[in-house]
Amino acid sequence: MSDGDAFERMNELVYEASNLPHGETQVRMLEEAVRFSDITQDIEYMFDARMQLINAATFAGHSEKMYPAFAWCLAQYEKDPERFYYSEDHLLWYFKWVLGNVTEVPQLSMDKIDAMFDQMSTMYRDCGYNQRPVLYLKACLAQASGFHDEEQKYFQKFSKLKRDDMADCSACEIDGMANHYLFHNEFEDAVKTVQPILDGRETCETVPARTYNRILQPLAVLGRYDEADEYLRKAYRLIRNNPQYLRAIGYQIFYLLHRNKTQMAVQRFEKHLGWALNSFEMDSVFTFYLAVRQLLQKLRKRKTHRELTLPKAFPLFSADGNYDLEQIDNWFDEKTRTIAGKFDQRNGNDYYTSDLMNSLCY
Amino acid sequence: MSQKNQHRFQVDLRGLIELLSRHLYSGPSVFVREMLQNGIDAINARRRTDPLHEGTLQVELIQGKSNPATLVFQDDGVGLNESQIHEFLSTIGQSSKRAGMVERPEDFIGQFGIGLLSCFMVTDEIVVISRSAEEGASAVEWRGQSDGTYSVRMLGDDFAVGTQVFLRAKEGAEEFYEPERIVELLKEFGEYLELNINFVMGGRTSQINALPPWSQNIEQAAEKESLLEYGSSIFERRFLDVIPLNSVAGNVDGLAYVLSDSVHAGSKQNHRVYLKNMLLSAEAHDLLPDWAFFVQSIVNASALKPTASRESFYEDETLEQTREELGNCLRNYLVEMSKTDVRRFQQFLAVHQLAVKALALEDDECLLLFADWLPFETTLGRMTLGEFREEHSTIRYVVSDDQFRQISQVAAAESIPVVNAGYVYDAELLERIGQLQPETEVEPFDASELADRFEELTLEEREETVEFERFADAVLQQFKCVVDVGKFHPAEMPSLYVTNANANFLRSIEQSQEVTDDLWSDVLGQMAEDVTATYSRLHLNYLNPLIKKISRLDDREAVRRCVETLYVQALLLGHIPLKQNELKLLSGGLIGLIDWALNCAEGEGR
Repeated sequence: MSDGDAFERMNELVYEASNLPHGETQVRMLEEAVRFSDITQDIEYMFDARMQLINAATFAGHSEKMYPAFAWCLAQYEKDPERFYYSEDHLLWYFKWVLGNVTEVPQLSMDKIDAMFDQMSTMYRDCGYNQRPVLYLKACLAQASGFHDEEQKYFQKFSKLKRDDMADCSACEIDGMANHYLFHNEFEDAVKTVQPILDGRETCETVPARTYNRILQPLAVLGRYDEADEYLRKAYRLIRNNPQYLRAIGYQIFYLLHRNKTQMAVQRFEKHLGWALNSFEMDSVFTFYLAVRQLLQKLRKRKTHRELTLPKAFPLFSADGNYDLEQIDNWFDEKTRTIAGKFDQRNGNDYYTSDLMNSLCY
Repeated sequence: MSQKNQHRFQVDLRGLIELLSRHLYSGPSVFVREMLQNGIDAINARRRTDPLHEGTLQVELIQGKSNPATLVFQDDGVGLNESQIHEFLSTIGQSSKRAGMVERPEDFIGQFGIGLLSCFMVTDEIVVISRSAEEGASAVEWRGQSDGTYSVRMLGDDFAVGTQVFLRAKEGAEEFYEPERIVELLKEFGEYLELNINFVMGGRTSQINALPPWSQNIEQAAEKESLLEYGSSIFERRFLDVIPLNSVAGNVDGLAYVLSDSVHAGSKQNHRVYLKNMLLSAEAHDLLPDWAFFVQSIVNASALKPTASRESFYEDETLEQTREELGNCLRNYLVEMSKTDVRRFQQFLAVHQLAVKALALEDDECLLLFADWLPFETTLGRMTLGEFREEHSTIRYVVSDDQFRQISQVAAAESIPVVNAGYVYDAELLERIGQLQPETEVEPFDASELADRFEELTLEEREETVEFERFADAVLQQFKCVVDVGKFHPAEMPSLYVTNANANFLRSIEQSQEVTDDLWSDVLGQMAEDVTATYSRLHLNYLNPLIKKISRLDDREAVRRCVETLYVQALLLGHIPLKQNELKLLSGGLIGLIDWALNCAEGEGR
């Protein structure tokens, strides 16, 4: 294949992918586009194709594919900043995704994460932006790791800075604010905060999809079931075809169980287990598996066996569709414990194995 | 705070109107809609006390020779008395439609008392002359300026009941006072209203009203033809068919036009949406289910709530039910067609298979019904899933074009049926079919399985190649690649390189590590920690004469070079980007080849 052919094929793939909804297919096409860009050996094509892949991977629940692509682009940028000046802002923006996703990767050590934060912080400063996104992401990491005081500290620092061009959109910020309140168990404040999102006044690529699901628990706790039921339904339409919402499906299962809608919870489990089995986003997998465990506990109270339609990739897959509930419950138990253990080991506490498990189940 | 200390904001009306026109409305032309709206509401209000009152809206254009043109909107509705004029016309955000009513009556379209204000987008002064239908009421004149001041004076009873609004063209807005433009706008917004709307100019009156397309009988061939033509003229594109739409929840009637060209998955079509027969938006989205991207529609709704801008619908449960019902209309159309007119359905699929796949993915019943008609690319050629299933009880698929290309040549030659599910929806659809129909085995095709189908080497051949295989394997060890010698078709193919998702991911990690600094190299290393390292596999074809020759070479160095070159060649053919050490291999191999050729030439020359 000549370079010209490769270039053409790359362009075709990028164009085709740009017309697709976010998801597996889009990611696969752009991975292929990256391979063709490599054949051209033109650094700028290689750079641009990877930038596209970063975007697609992030919005399809494949953040693991973002890391090598981002690292490559960052290295090229550092080697020749003038040449890639045209993508500088994008690169800065994607840095947010990279550090926003470290909460999904337990094998990344804290010292490496700190070093990445230092690099991000320097880049933002050197490019004339403030530290707001850095502080916010530090708060998010503290949130996910269960460090209350640290979270409070970073969140306050973040809130004091002015928004600049690298600030998240206002819908995302409102959603982030709500997460902050939820982390501190301030349910009413959380619900009040997201009202503009619930009213449809603030939206973006992932809001209200994220918000609807996250707000189910506080609404249930406050007894506002009518609203929660409505958001559950609206949200499912938005998330059911995109694996980036695996965690959100977990939240839905928790809520459905709380509402005693077991059959619907079973359907979510059957339909979306495949996402979890295929995912590298371990915090999302953890949330989903924990929800599945709660579901299985409930099912086991009534029966020992049950028909389930589970994907072939499931290690305990049974061709006749009949499952020993205790057996699969044990499998999910083992998985959740392993994941929780890894996060706790990385974070140096027992947040996942104790507090988080308790706060997710209600 | 005491009452005394309370002050009101001084709002600059001009700024506010600027804001409205730029952010709330899509442009100045909506003043026509707002004026029609007010007229309809006034007439409906009058009908409540006088049910037999027919009501007419009249729009007159007066073109002055030296003066700016004037538009007069006139209705014979309920009218306003003096106090109502003060109350409703002079308080922003207030509307007579809201006063004294807990719920808005259903026949009121307008919801916000900002309608009249929108006229300031096209005029600097609004003059309203109104006479209330109340007994003994006199006519009142209200003059409002765009700077926010207004005056009111009494006119006596020499006027008919109803309201007239006078707008004089302001600089820059003249286009809205051109007869063609104003008639176009009146038709655009009000053509299908039930009330009579007349346009008057130079003493000549013409009627704006027309029969709404959704009230026509689509069953009649001639009518259908004319509806198709109508659709083409509205949307300026050609359509294959037109489907009636109905929803009880949203009280919706409409028509869905089937696009004549395929569109990409999940694309958003513009829909033309009327609320109670008045145009709400020509670019509405989200009225149909996500999978219905193969149609453009015209619908009229009576029970949906408009948003503040009155240009789309408020997302609520009714809208959701409506969406489902409208989706069902399209769904039933497809189901019906697949059952009664297979040929047409196939033609339809040739254009809109993506939409059908999107629907099937959400709707198990449709999936089972349509599955066998869906076209796929397979190693045995392009065919429908039904044709494929007739011959093969197991559906094996690969999830990317890339993978398909890797295996297709060999799989085709070895008659191994594999489906290319590399396009959007495909893999998910096949998996779902497997779940719904346990008698059909559906599984991802693992390229390593290809080798299981290869013809076995004879004992003799084994002995001939065992040493070669072991050596080649050792050569490629550093590239995490295992070598297998086997026999497969086509014989012209010397080698087949098979990799897997994990190996690909690890390759992308290593490739980036080659250019990154220590920090990122470590980060990537940690990312890859939990990924099981798997070797890729290079199958060398013993049916291929070249491979046979290489395997018989005695010169180890020559064999090493050959194997390395075969490996790099296989990567290149598979469009797999080379890592640094592989690139070295490539250039080293070429230089070595030249060197060797020169040596040979020298040898001959001697």
